[in-house]
Amino acid sequence: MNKLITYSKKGLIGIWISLLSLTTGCWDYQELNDYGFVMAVGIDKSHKKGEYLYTFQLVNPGVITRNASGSHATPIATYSQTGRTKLEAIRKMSQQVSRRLFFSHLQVFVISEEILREGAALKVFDVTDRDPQGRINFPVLAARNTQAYKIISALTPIDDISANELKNKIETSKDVWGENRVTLIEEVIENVLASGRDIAISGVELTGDSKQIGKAESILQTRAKGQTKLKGIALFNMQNLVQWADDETARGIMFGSNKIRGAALNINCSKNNNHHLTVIVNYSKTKIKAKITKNRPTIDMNIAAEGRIGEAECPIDLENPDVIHELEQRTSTEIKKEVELALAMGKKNQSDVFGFGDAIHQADPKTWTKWKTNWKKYYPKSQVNIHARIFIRTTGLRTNPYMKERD
Amino acid sequence: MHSNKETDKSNSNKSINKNITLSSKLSLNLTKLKEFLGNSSDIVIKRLQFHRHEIAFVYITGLIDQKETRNLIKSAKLEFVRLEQTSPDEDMMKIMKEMLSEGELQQLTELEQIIPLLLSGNLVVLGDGWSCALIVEVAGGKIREVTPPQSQTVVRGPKDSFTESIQTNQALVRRRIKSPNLHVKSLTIGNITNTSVSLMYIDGIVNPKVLNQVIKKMEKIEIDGVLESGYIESFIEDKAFSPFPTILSTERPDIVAGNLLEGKVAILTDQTPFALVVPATFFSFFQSIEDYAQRFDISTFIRILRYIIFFVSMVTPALYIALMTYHPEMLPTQLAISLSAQREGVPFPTVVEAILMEMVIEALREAGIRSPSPLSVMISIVGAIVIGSVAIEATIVSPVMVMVVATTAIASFATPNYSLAISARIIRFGLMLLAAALGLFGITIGLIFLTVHMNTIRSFGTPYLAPFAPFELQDQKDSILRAPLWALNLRPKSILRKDDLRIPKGQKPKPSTSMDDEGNKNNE
Amino acid sequence: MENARISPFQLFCLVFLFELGTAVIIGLGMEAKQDAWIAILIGLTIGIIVLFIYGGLYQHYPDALLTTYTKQIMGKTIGSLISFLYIIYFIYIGARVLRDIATLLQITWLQRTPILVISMVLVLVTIYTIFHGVEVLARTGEIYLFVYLFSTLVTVVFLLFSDVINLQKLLPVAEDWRLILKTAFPVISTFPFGEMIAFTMFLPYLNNRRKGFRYGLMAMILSGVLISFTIAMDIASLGGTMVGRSPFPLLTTMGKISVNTFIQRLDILACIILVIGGFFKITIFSYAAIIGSADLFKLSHKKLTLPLATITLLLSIIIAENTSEHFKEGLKIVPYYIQLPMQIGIPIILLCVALLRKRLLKKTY
Repeated sequence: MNKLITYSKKGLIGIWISLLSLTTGCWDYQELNDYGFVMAVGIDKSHKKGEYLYTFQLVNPGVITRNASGSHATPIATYSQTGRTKLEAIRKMSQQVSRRLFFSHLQVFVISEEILREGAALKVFDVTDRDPQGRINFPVLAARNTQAYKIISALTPIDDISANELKNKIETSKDVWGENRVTLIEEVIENVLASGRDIAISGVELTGDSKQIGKAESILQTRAKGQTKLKGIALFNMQNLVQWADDETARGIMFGSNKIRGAALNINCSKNNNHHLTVIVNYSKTKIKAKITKNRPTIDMNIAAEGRIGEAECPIDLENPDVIHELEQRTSTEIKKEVELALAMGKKNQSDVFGFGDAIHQADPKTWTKWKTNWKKYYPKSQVNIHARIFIRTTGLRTNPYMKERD
Repeated sequence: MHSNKETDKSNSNKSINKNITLSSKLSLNLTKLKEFLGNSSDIVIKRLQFHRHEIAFVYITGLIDQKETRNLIKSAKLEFVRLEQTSPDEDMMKIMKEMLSEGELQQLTELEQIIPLLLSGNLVVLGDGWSCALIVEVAGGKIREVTPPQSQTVVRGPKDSFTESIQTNQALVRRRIKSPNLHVKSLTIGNITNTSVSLMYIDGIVNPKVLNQVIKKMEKIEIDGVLESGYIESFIEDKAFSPFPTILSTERPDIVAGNLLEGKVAILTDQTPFALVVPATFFSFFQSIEDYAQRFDISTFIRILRYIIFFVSMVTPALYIALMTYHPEMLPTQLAISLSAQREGVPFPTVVEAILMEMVIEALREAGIRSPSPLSVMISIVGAIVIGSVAIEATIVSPVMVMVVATTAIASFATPNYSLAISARIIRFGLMLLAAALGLFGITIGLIFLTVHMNTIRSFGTPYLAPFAPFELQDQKDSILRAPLWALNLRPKSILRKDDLRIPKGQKPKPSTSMDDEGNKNNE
Repeated sequence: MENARISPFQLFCLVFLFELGTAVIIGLGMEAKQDAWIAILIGLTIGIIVLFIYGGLYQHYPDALLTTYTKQIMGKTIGSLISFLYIIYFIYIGARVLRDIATLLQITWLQRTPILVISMVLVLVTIYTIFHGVEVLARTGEIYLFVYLFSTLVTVVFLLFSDVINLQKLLPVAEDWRLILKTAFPVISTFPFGEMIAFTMFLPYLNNRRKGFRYGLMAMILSGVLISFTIAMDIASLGGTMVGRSPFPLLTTMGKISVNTFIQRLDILACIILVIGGFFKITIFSYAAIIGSADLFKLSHKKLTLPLATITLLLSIIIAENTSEHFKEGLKIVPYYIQLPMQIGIPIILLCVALLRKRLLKKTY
């Protein structure tokens, strides 16, 4: 018996030792410089039916870090590949690129307007969502009036990597101007098929000479030729792009969906002249409350904002609180007007951009389960009360504008 | 030779296997003595003969105080002259005893007992017609002065350190603790070297269980020679196979004194300027005596910093390997791109590169310690040039690798205890291999394994990770944190296993009242 | 039984780590959608009631393991059989936990590494720990309690700073009570709360009975609340549908952390948390099985550690072919046919018989 125990013990130890030798496999060992970092992905329509054209922007690390002035290589390189699925294109790409594509540092995703209008393009995020190394907290943009591959092939004079430039651009613009929504992949994933809210994606277009896009010469001058520019917000009905909202309407969308981090609103100085005065919005909070009255959704939208006078080109007495109150009133009306514009566009296209459906779900879950499937029928009928209120806290470093003193 | 009787070996001295008793003939005794010591040339025998009296002084040069011995011999000569003139019949031995009685005086008959004393720097006085020897304590000779500590320096705090002499070392501790309860127990270890080792502890504070364990373990040691305290350390450790030290070694008497006050036991070894302190937990290796000299908030901050540094010195290269080869998605984008560019053209895989560079640093450190001091400047120049710039320029290693290695090296130099810094160095290589095989999972598992391992260790009955495991709330005041001294009311409970009041409560300093108020109070 | 003692605080740590173990990282109770956190709290309440059954048994037999007092209650033959069943149960659940962790690690970090290797490395540390006994395990628990609490704190602070928590996503509260209750019982109340049955193999080691049981209860409540809080946090930052689609939502939540764009990708911390928690869970189950069989077959636990751990390792591999099968078994089969009888059924019977015996004994005197 004892012998048996010693034998089996020896056997077990033998098994363990042979198992241990397995650990020397290093299966997942991969050197960092074997990876090609993909910074941006663009998706366009392919000539073949059922296939898409995927374009990847890869970074050239050597050029970026060494600031090689004599080097003729561009800091980025783009490659295109068609495929029925994104992963097929990614893997097939190995025939073109020497390095393993690495998506963890992806900065931006661009999809052409063309296929967004057709719908069904938003399914491509599944591979990003599923990939354990992938991240889903970066923005997606719609290429407006152009192809996505052109957008991500553009070189930029200030930032080396144009994907970074695009991402920083949209974030800065969101913070100071407020007409561009930063829609992260995760928001798209969460809302594209959720019935209570429709997604909205910022647009990006080409300016200047589109033939110069991607050429090194295009940035070798102070006024760079062929650049990208953000323009408008695309409204969606489920997964189909339905209409572009520009300028005030776009900002209305931002105000209504509680996304404003900063904005500059122009209003007239007084009712009967057309001198301009700009109010800088520093803070804005939107609350949406829903209730059901007579089988019809009633929505209360409360916008509370804070700001200051940024510019006043007119003779106006800013030392007078009553004047400030009046300006507050007019600015609030302006905000309300913009939101109404956006709402009208949303209702027209059955795009629940403000998430009224979610509000009803939270307020009245029972009704929501009834309405859920054909919410788009109820949505345009909803009664919306918009209350906007802005507080102008200061007038900046000066009180009255110098235009006033001259009078 | 009168008798050759065998006695039971109660004495640890086993090289002298014949028990020889002194005879009454001086010349015979001297021959025996010489024979016994192999006619070694460093034995000095001074014979004095006057009238019918004859005595001999025997000592070993270098071990005794030359001046004192010379004076003794001189005064003995004078005494002889006096005797000759006055009372030539008087007992010589009695007179010698009287004369020598100022110092420590022993009267022995067995050669077996005399020899070790002779070898440890005593003066042996033999006389014709005596059948015994007088032993006078005149130890001296060249002993290194008490110097500032070399390996455990402080900015604020005492600047003395132990020397090779055990007497000096004991005195250094006793000067700090002037208490009758400071007990010293002496042992002799080493069959050939006969090294004296002494235990110091404060009676009434020390945990008797720990003390008994230490004594028992020390008495069991059988070894030919003890040349450094490390010899003893390796025999009394609780866990033989572990990279972690379980015994604190220090060259600072103030650290020993501080630990004695916490109820620990110190072991001093002759000819070693390093004392051992037991029990030692993991956290005690992070404490510096200066922690108590500085204000508590500063000490706490520095202590926390030390733990971080230790962790850094252990895991940095492993973490680097894991991030570079398994988890590049965790690097910030800009960093990932820049690291990727730096790796461009480097011929070795990251692991090989890391292990290689760590080896180079270890070699540099070893060379810096071992080489003669004029060469060490040379070594640092070569190291700086070869590693610092040429290797990078030749793209043999990537710049960031040099940074990682340098960080690790600095961190491991900053670990306050040398023996712990060494263990971190060993562990580092293990973690690097784990990281290369399994990435961060390997590191995590490695660290869990280390924690489990540390929990299997005990230092003289105290769990190694005390006071965290087992958790002792009271002791938290002086482990990672260092509470103000007036709040450290109790001695470490995890070692003493009892509440032992050390500093009475209620001594928190209050803002002193102004002069006027004090005057008023006095009036009341 | 080993000759060892653990303190109430050590039991607290072990229970805490054991309960959080894998539960904190998987999408526990996601059948109840955004109300999962309520379902967890209800499951906790049921779990506490079940705990008092074990407490009752402990009160009657404070110095005996579960495998010992089954024999005293049910007689030698039936008792031994029940003990044997429990040993198999502990091994099986241990193997399931091992598979859970290995799966997550394979999905996230080590896609190309065979699952056997991942499991093996974990089991090796488990073997080392169990070999050194329960005291070492308990002390390790104390150390990792601090690590665990610290990383939880870091996570919460970073989540708050990175502005991803949107409490609106938790609305509407308590949408469908029937769904919540169905989720709470039996799934949540058996996993992780009912698994406290493993601690019937640790209670006799306590050096302070009364305090020990109270500490265990406290740990269970605290960990239950923490799991509920974590799931609520997951839902508030990801939304119900996303959490429902993720087998490991905490991972995704922590992946969303982005403080000033520099501190990112803290999902690494989630994996580390899982490895630590999972390690304790596996070790505690394996220890329960090993000490149980040592008690049943009268062998030393050191001899049994290697063979039983090897069985756990191999079982974890053959238990299911793919993750979908593994998760399906975990949600639909194990709670009903294994957990319920082992965690609630048999202990109730044991307690009733024990009480009856006591009463009969009293009458005879």
